[in-house]
Order: sequence, then C-alpha cells, then structure tokens
Amino acid sequence: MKAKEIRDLIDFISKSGLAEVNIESDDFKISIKRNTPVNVTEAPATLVAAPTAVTTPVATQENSVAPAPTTEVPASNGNNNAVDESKLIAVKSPMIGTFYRSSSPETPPFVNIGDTVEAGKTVCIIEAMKLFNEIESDVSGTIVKVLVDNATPVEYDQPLFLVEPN
Amino acid sequence: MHNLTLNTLFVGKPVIHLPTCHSTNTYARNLAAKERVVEGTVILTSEQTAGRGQMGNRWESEPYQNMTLSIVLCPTFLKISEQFHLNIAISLGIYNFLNQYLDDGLKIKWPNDILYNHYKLGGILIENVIKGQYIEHAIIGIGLNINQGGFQTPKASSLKLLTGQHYSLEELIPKLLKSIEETYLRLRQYQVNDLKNEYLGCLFRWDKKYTFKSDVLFEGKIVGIDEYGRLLVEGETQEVKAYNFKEIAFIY
Repeated sequence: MKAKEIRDLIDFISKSGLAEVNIESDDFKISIKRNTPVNVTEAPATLVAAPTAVTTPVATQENSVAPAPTTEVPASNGNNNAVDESKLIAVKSPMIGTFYRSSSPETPPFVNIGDTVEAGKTVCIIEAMKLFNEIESDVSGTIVKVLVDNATPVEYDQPLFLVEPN
Repeated sequence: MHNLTLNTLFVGKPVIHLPTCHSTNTYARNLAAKERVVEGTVILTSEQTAGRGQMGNRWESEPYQNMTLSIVLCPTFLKISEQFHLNIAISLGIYNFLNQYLDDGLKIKWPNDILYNHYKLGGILIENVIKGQYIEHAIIGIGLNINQGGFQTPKASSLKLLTGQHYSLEELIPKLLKSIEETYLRLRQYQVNDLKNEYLGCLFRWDKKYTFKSDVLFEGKIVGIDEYGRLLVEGETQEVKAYNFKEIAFIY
C-alpha cells in the first residue's frame, strides 16, 4: 500500500466512527485503532454538580471524537457544528430570579444538551423570593446550548437555552 | 379524615385524600400535568413520607399529627411579575387561621414562614407552572404543625405544644381552607394594597431595629417590601436597601 492510500484509509476510518479496524491480505496487514481520549473535555461550565449530570459530557464526547483524533481539537461546548445558528430559538426568562436546572441538588437537570423537548416540557425553575416557577419550553426541538449557569441570577427576557426547532 | 365539612366556595372542592404520599405538591404537579385540575382542588395526606421544602430541603412531619396539604390555584389574573401578591395572600390566610388560637406572638417571617415567637410552626412552598407570560397553575404546599408532641430541632413547635390542647384535624382543615379562600378572593378582587399592609403588620421583626446578616452583621429596620417582594431594610446610615431571599438573614 502506498502512503497516500494508508492516509486515505485512516481518514475514512476516522470519519466512520469505528473504534478499531484490522485489514489483512496476502501482502499486507494493517491495524488501526482510535486513541479515544480518556478525559475528552472538561464538563461545560453550565453543568450542575448533581452526580447524574454526567449525561452532558457524554453527549459532548460523542460529538467531539468524530473527527480524526490528531487533526481537530475537540469542541468543548458540546455544540454540533452542523447546526445553523440562525435557526435556533431561545427559551427566555419570563421574570427576574435565580435560575435552577433541576428541582433540587439531588435530582438530575430537567434537560441536557442533546435532549429533545416538546413544547410544554419543563426546562428549568426560576426562583424569586421563595416562589418557584417551572418554566416550560415554548418550542419543540433539540437543546443545543445552555446559556446560564445553575443557581445564578437571571434578568427578564434573558435567553436561557438555545433550541433547534423540529 | 373523611368527614370534612366544608363551607368554602371552591377551595377543597374536591379534596383528594391520600392515606400516604411522598409529597402532596409533587402529586398535585403530576396530576395537573396529566389532566385538567379544577381550581381549588386540595391534595391532603395523613402521612407525607418525602415532604419537600425549598430546593431540596425536607419537610418532616409526624404521621396523623399535622396538616400536610396542597391547594391548586389558577391565579391567571396576576402577571408573573406580580406573583409575590399570591405569597402575601396565602401567608395572610394561614396567619388569620392560626390567629384564632394564638396571640400576637404569631408572626410571618418574610417571605413566608409561620412563627410563634422564635418557633417555626409552619411553612409554605409555592410552585408555579408558567406558560408564556401567565401562571397556569400555582401549587400551594402547606405544612402546619398541629398536634406533634416534640421536634428534633429546638426551633420548631406545634399548636398543641403552644396551647396545651389537642386539636381535631377534621375540624381545623375546613377552617384553614376557608381562611385561605377569603384572602385569595380578596386578591382576585385586586385588594393588593390592603393585603400588603396587613401582611406587613404581621411581619416578624417589623419596624424596629434588629440585627441582620447580609455580607456582614448590621443593625437594620424592616420598612417594607418592594413590588417584587424584596425586603426593604433601612441600614445604619438610614439608606434603604432591597434584599432578595437568601441575601439577608435574620439573627435570632
């Protein structure tokens, strides 16, 4: 096999998502193994400290390992590069208060990046003076970005999530 | 608890009585998500096994001794930004009910704890479901200590410990519901200024100098609440500052 053919083969396999490929013929044998990074990305800053929240970095990892490991820096924001930003719709805060991604520190977030939401699905809680407000998504689609850190103040009309509509 | 004689217009119609329940607020929320719930529906339990306070805090209550219930209301006449009025009406409704049995040691600790002197008698957990710019449902969780004989925390008490009497929950619950309905109906008539003034008159640590803690300890005087329900406290240099919940603590 020529060097270029080997490069093309590696390129092809890296895009395929396969973790390991072994090819053997009469005159050559090639073994390609993807070196999956152990700590692929840091958890996004928006992640809450709930132990069950690990689903978010997993989703990030799937997106970021798809390119060949040696050629691209993994995207750390969990955003799918194919998303057309102009089509995204923001779920905004209807009030001033404190933004919470889950109903208590022990429970998982209502939504994570990559989750599909229906209009009417609770996406967060905003607390104001000990009144707890469940905020529903007004669009159906996929959560592509969480714009606010857990337990931080939000203003009226502040974008909270970006949703790619169905 | 099957013999409630109600004299209300709509609060407690119907009452859903659950012998045991994790959390009446969670039950009410799930019910409202599944089907249309009539305004005034009450979820009542004799034994709440995983009662909730705010943000993961637990509400502990001995079975059969206390009131643990939730009321589903639909205050669609309130803007989201006006929701503190709902807190005022509910707190005042509970206060007026308890005031039939207790003297003026009874106070509302801003924003919505019920105290007698320094003892906590009850708590309120209001959870709103927001749709667009409206409050679709408000789920009003109420825990009131009635006949419980002792508490793990020295800061809690019950009506029985304070008055020496045992109470029938079947008799008390309709009175509580009636009292809450009265203040809620006044809210529906938009008597917000009167309700607010009555609420301020019942506030723990109202209008006198006490020690508070914000970033540091300071001497301050509660002079009111603003339109969002923030506590207005006059500090040592006579300036008035508005505090969010958790930005200020009472020292007592």
